[in-house]
Amino acid sequence: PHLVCQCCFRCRSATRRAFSTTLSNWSGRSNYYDLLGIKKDATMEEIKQAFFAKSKKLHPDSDPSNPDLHSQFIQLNEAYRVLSKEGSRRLYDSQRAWHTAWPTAGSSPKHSPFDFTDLGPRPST
Amino acid sequence: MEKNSPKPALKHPAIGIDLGTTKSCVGLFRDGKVEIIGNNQGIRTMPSCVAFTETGRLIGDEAKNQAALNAPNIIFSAKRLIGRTSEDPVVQADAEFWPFQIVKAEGKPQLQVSYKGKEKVFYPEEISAMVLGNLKEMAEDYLSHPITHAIVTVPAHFNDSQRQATKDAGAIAGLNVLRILSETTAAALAYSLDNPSNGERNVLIFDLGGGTFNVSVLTIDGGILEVKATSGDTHLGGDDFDNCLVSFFIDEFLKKHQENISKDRRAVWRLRRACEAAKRTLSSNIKASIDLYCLYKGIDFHTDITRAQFEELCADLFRGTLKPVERALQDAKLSQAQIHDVVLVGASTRIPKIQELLQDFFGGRQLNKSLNPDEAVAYGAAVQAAILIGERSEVTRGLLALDVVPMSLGIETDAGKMHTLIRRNTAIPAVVTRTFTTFDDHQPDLLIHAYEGERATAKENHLLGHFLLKGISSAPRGMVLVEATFYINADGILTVFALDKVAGSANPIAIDANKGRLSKEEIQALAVEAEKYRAEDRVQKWKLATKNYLQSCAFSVKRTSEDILNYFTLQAKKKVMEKCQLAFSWLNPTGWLKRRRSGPMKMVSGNSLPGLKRLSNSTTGINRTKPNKFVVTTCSWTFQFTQTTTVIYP
Repeated sequence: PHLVCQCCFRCRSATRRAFSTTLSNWSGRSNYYDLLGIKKDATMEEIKQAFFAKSKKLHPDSDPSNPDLHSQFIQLNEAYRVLSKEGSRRLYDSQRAWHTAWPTAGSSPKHSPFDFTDLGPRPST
Repeated sequence: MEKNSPKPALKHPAIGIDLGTTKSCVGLFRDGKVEIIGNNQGIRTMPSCVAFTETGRLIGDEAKNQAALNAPNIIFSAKRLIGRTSEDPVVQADAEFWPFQIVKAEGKPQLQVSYKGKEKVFYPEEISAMVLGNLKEMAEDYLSHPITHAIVTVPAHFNDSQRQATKDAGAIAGLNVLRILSETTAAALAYSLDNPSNGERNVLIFDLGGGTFNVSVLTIDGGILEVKATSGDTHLGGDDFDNCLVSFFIDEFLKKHQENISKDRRAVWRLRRACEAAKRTLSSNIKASIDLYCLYKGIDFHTDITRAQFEELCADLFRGTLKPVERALQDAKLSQAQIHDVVLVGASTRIPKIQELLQDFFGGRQLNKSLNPDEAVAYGAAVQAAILIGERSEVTRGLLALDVVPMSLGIETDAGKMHTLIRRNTAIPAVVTRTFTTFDDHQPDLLIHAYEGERATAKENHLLGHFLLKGISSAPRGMVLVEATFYINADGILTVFALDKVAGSANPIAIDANKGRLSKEEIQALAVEAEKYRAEDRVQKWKLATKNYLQSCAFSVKRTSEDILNYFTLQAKKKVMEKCQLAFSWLNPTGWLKRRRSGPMKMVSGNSLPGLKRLSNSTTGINRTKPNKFVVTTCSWTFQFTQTTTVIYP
C-alpha cells in the first residue's frame, strides 16, 4: 500500500469524495450550468435536452476535423454527469454556494478542496 | 460479385468492420446507404479463420473448408485470445477444445502453426490482422479503390487491453482505425436508421454472437443514441454451445465404442464442424443427425440429437444470458416495462430457446427481429464510419452515438482497496482527476496500479498496468499530493497521467504501461511482416493463375489439334500431343510442388494477331524452348486469331 486517497482522510462519504475532486478541477474555470446553457432551476428533463443539444455540436464525432471539440465535450460530459443525478447536483449547488462565499478555497491545491470544514474533521489514521 | 457501377469514388472511403469471433463482415456507406460487401462468391460474412498450409496462407471460407487433415494449422476464435494473458483461466479452458497449439511468450499467448514446412508463431493480433486485411482487400476489390480507414467493432464489454489489442491488429493490417466501436452501439445505429422515430425510445440490444454476448440499454431520441448501460459476457456464444455438443458426443462415442477421441485433434475438429451444423439445423428443425464416416480408428459415428436434448445441454448457458440483461436494466434504472423494443442481433439469437427465455423475461413481449442478425453490426459500423469521415448525407445527419465505458476504472489505494475514478457507464470521452497522498513518511516513490472491474478489492479486478512515480518530494505522510488523471478516449481506451503537485508540473509522467501490450516498434515490425505475407499471397495467387492459364492453353491446343485433324499430318499431331503431355506432366501436383520453390515465375505477354492465318504445325502447339520456358501457341479453330503465350519459370 503506497497510496491513499487524499480525500479519505477528510471525508468518508463516497459521493462527497467523488464530488470534491470534481469541484477542484472545474470550479475555477466554468460553471456547469453555464456550460450546459441552462438555468439553476432547470428540470432534469431540461438538463438532458440541453446536454443532447450541446452534444450535437460539441461531440468530437460531429466535426472530426475540429480537435478542440474533444476537450469541450469532456467538460460538457463532466457537467452532465454531475447535474444529471439529484444527489450530486444538490452537493454541487451547496458547494458552489460555499465557493462563492469563500472564493479562495478552491484555488490552491494545498487547501482545496479538502479543507471544507463542513466535511468533518480528519480522522486519526 | 456484382461489379461496382461507375459511381464516383469517395476521396477517403472508410469501411465498417464487424470483427467477430467466428464470422466477420464488412460494410461500406455510400450514396446514402450501406452496402454489405460480399466476397467473390457473393458470401457476405466471412469466417474469422486463418489456415496455414504447405503452399501458403488461406483466409475465410477457404481456411474453414480446409480438410480435417490440416486441423492443427487452422486458427479460429483469435478474438477469444486477443488482449488476454496466457495465465487467463479462460484461455486455458479454451485451449482444451482447440485443435491448434498455444504457446506462451512473455505472458502472452501465441499460436504455433506449421507454415510452409516451418514452425511459426503468431500473436492473436496478427491473426486478427490477417482477417482484417482480407476484409480490407475484399472492400478494395469491390470499390476498386485503396482503403486505409476503418471502424472496427468490439464487444461492448471488451476491456481496455482487448480494445487496445484490437486496435493494434488494425494497425498491423495497415488500417487506420478511426474508432473502436461497441458492437451493440453499432447495432443500435443500424436500428435507429431502420426505425426513425421522434419520441424518446428505450431500446435493449441483445447481441449473442459466436463468442461474445453483449447487452446494451440505449435511449434513442431524435438521432442521439445515449448508451445508458452496458453489460455482457466476453465469453459466451455459439462457440460455447458447440463445445457443449462436442463434449456430449465425445462421451457418447466413449460409451458406444469405448474409445476416447478427445486427444485426436482431427477427429475433434470434424466432430466440431458437424456439431456446428447440427446446432444450426436445430434452430429450425427439432432433430438433427450427425454422420461422420471413419471418425476415429475406422469407426463410423452416426447419431441424432433433438432440440430438447440440445436445450438441456446448454440450459445453464442459455439461462446465463438473462443475468447481464437484468444488470443492464438495473444500471439503466429502467424496468422491463419501460423498454420499448428488445432488438435481437447476432447469429445465436436464432436459437428458439433463447428467444423464448428473453420473451418470457419481458413478459411475453414480441421481440424485434427486424435487423439482419449477421450484418447489423457491420451496417452500424459503416454508418459510424460515414459520420467520422464527415460524409454529408441526409441519413447520417444529426446521428450521434454517445457511448459509455463498460467497466469501472480505478487505482489501488491503502489496504488493497479499489478506488474507482471512472464509474462504469460513464459517457466517453471523459477525464477524471483525483488527488492522492503518500501512506508513509518520506516515501521516495509511489507505485500506482490501475485496475478495471467492479470488485471492492483491487486484486480481484483486472490489472491494466502499473507505473512508478519516482523522486517525489520528501515529506511526512499525507503532505505529498499526487494528482492522478484518468483519460478515457472515444475508443474506450485508457491513458493515465500522474503528477506530483507539490514539486509542481516539473515532473508530469505520462503512462502508457499497459500490461502485455505490443510496443509501437513491435506493431511496426508486425505490420511489415504482414505486408510480406500479403505479398507472398499475391505471388501464390499469381502462380496459381499462371499455372491455370498454361493448363487451359495446353488443353485448348490439344483440343484444337484433335478437332482439325484433317489439316495436320499424323506426325505433326503426334508431336503436338507429346508437347501437351509434357506440359501436363510438368503441371501435375507433385511436379508443381517440387518446382514451386525454384522461385517466382513470369508470364510473358499474350499477343493476338487478328486475321486469318494458315495453319501449320508450327502455329498451334507448345514449344519448350528452354527447360523452364514454354511457348504456347493456340489457334482457335475458327481461324480468327492466333495467340502466343510464353510462360517462363526461372
